[in-house]
Amino acid sequence: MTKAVFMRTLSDRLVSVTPERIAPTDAVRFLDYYEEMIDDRMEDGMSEEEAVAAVGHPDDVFRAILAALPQFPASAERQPEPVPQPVPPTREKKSSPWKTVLLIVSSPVWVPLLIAAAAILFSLYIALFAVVVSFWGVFVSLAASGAILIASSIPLFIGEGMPAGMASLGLGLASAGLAILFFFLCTAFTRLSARLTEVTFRGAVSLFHRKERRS
Amino acid sequence: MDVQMKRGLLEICVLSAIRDSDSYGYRIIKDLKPYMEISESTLYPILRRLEAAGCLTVRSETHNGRLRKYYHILPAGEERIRRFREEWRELTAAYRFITRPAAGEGERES
Repeated sequence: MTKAVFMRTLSDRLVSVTPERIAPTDAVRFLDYYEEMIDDRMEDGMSEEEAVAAVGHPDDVFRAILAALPQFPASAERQPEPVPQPVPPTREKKSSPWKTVLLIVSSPVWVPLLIAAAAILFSLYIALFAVVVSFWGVFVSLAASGAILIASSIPLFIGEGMPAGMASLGLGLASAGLAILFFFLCTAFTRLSARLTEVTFRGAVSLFHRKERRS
Repeated sequence: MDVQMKRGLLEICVLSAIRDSDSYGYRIIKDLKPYMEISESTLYPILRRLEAAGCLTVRSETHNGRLRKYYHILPAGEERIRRFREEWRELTAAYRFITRPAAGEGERES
């Protein structure tokens, strides 16, 4: 085989492949490489026929190129071949019809239980909410009474005299102090109950998800 | 030989072939021939891999009125050779252990 025939055959094989597998620039590099190999062998003293025979049949060379493709570094032109994604087994496949039947048949048992559990959770939440609201109520009443007592101490000082005014001011300041203390207590408690709600909600949701996955 | 091992070994051989002076494809094959048989189709992906890994660079030079590609080793390639020699020391130690005479073998022979 002559060098020209070798090059033409290999070129035909390389362009027969989609450019996604072998980019045109890569094909040219392959051809240059093998041409150089034949030329160098001829320069080394081989005849053209011998040099071509030493490199191998173009079909074999092409097969070797294809076989080595996964080893090649990704070229800029060559698109990475789409990796077939393993299809995850669908849930429908996993759940047997018996499980669904069982779920429906046992619904008179688990539906009321589920409702009861939800009701308990709801009532607990209402109780918690009530405690938080009452704490804030205490804070508001303390703050209001403190403000009113302090404010009313001024006319008492003027109208009723020193002892009444002092008593009102003292009580007012005490209420205001307690209100400040309660304010911190209330915010802390509110934060705690918010956190508790979040955790409960997440727990309920995750429980639901787990159940869904199992079925 | 294990394919992965042979591939790694061939890479080191190719790097060693261009270590002392720049070389071209056919000369690399010829230089390696007494030690390791390597075909054109085997060499090409190795050169491309080493180039992508930054172990060597390629430049084209005119030679007898045509272009020839010369491969030049980079520091990363030299580092690969150095690492291989270190690993080889460990390997030979393991080899000595694997091929040590079986217990009692020496006594039977004597």
